[in-house]
Amino acid sequence: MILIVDDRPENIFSLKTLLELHGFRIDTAESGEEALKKVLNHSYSLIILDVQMPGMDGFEVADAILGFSKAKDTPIIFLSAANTEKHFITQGYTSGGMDYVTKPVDPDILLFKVKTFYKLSEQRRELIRVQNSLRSEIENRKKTQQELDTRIEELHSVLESLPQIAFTIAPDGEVEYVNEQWYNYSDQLSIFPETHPDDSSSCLEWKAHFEEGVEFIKELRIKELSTAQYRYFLLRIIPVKQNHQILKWVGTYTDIHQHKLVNETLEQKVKERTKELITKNEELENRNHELQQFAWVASHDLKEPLRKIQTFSHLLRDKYLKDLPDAKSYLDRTIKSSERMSDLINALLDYSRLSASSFFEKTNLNTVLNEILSDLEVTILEKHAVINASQMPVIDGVHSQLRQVFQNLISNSLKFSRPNVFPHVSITSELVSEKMFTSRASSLGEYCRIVVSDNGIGFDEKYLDKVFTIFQRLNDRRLYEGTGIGLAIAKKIIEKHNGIITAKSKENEGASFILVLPLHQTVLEQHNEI
Amino acid sequence: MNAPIRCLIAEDDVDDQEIFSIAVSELDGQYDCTYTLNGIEALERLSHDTLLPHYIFLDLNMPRMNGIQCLAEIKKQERLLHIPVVIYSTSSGQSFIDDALHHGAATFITKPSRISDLVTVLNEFFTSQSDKK
Repeated sequence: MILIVDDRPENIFSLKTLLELHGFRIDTAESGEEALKKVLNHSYSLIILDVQMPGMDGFEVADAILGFSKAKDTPIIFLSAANTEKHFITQGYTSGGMDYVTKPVDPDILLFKVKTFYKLSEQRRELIRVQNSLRSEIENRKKTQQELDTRIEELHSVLESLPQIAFTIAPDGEVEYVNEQWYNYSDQLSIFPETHPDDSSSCLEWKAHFEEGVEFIKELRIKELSTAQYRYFLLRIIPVKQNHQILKWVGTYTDIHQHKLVNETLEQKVKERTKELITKNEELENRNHELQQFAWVASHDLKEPLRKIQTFSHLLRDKYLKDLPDAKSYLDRTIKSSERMSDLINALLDYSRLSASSFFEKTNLNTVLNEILSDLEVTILEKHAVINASQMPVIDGVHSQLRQVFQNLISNSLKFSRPNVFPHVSITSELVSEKMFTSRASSLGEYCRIVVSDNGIGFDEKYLDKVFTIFQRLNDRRLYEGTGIGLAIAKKIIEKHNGIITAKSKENEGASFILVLPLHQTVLEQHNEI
Repeated sequence: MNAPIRCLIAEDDVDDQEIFSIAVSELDGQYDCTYTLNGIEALERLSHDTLLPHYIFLDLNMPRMNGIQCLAEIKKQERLLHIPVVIYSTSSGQSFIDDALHHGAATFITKPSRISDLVTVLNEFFTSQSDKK
């Protein structure tokens, strides 16, 4: 915009018309004072100033404009009709004018001058703008640099305060900064501490991590300068990234020497203990085996003389004591005792035999049950017992062992019947989904739950643990015969079949034995431990 | 009356020899029992005697050569193959029974604690054997 200042409106009008015709935008003022006000509020590219005006003349206005920082660089063209003499013109230039045009104005020349000055002014303004933006850019950069310096300083002071050895590495791989601790392990900033020959691979490993731009962690030994001893350190170097660009790497060596030594000692101790344990275990296994052998041999060798005692006692009683009732009574008691002893030895033999390994095969529990029922036929008839059995599954098992379990359970039920109550034994079976006594029934289950329940004398459940323990008897031997091994054997067999067994009972209200057995065994040979 | 049935018994325990002979004496029919104290003696007799026994009874536990070893030796000899061999023992373990049958024993008899029971078992055995013939 161009400001035209003239006290005569007709002059303004003609000039304004002329310039507007050539595409300039024009503002006007009819006095020096008005012009100054406008200059204060607007920014003009050029001011055309009449010299002779009432009040402030053109030179005074130009002087004032020079004092405005905002407008001091605006070019001024003075217009004058009268003051054509040289000193006026000189004053015009010293007042900050750019040019001086005398009236009458030749429009072509004025236009040419206006265009030139306008262009100059625009270029100048552009220059100033560029300069300003450059200046602010420089300011920005300075500020950023300062911030960066501050941050690096902060980082360094943080690193300096660390108990670890700390360092930074530039993106080109050179060590940039190290803290005080570094110099306990290296003389020079650019040289890494000396690594133990056994850990020398770490250098190559670090290079690979560096190339890939990923964190590097390694336990290694480095040499302490003062002692020339290697100590264990944990080296960790992480990339510091900004916008996916690695700015630098920050590394630390953390002293783990003490920790490592303690660990090594511990490991050594654990190894020693493990070895001791293995030896002890082997010893135990041997002892165990010897014990089994002993139990077996003892029972077997005990059987021989006992059988002879029985055989000859029978012979003596049947052949020679028919007419000696007192002697016969004593011998009867001898025979009874030797029978009991024989039962005990057989039960012990059965128990020790369980330690031998056997193989699982498809076992039909219905067959097992039928065999037992036919064995027990006489007892069942004698006791007027009723036995109900539901359909049983086929499972992976050891036939003779499973037979022993059911034999023991059913004969217990018959044995521990209540006086004057006919024994009633029921055996039920259902498939269940989990190896739990309370598992829900499921036709697709992988386990079967078998319940053997009776209406006998039962037992107090507080003795639950005892009933499954070898030689634990809950009942008076004079009333109920038995060896006290039957349920221990049953439990052991069920466990060897990877199953579980428990019992539920109340005194005088019968007992239920609950077994949960897997249908399938994954390993076909039984475990051999006791 | 039939000719006596010859039995060769290898048994190291003389009491058991006596018990066996008492039981045999209570059986119907005539039995001629020869006793040896172990497997080796039994084998010697078998190799020398021209008149072979009809049945052989071997105790399982004997010094020098046990019942199973002796059984195995017998089964190696063509001329003895036809003689039924019974393993006779205090033991009733299934593994012994299986082992005996596996080696070709005719049956396995567990020594009972009553002579009357032994009589029953022997009777059943001889009956079953004569039924086979």
